[in-house]
Amino acid sequence: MTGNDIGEGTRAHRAGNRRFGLGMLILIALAGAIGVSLHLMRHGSGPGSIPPLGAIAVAIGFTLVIAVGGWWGFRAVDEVEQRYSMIAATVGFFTQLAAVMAWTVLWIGGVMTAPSAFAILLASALASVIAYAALRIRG
Amino acid sequence: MNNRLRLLRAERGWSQEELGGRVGVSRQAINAVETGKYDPSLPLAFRLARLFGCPIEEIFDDRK
Repeated sequence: MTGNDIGEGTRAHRAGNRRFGLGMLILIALAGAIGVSLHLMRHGSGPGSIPPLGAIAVAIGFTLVIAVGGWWGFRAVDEVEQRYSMIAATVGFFTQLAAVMAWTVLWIGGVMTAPSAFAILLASALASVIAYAALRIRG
Repeated sequence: MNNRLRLLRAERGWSQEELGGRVGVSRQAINAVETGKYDPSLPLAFRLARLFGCPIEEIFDDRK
């Protein structure tokens, strides 16, 4: 076999990539469907703008998609990708920990407004993405 | 860790994608192992050794 032939390994590799891509598409579609449902149920903004049962259903839906999707995604990738994901998740977790502690102390000291859960979530997600990208670029 | 993976792969005329598919990892993983940026797990090292028909020590060397 020459380097240009498609052997059994290449076929298996590409089939695995297709399966992973399909799985990701299904997860994105599920998350999108939940998001659209949330939008359709919502009237106005703030507490009470979503029916309680709808809110419970959306909360369970998002939790399931994240839990099952995360579990599946972690099992579907190889050990290098698992390592990168674990490092990125750890960086995100410590960013969250540091942000909560620092912001809370600054709030108590009257330097800042009360901590924003959304801003802290965004910061930790951003830290994870940067860590993951750095690992991928490095090797 | 130094390794002879690239050489062994080249001897068989396999691409990184081909080798990755044969041992169940991605092309990027093979590249990371070949360039010494990632040390494979024992199960992966055994799969590679079995595929190339040689002991693990003939592929990987941690002494250099």
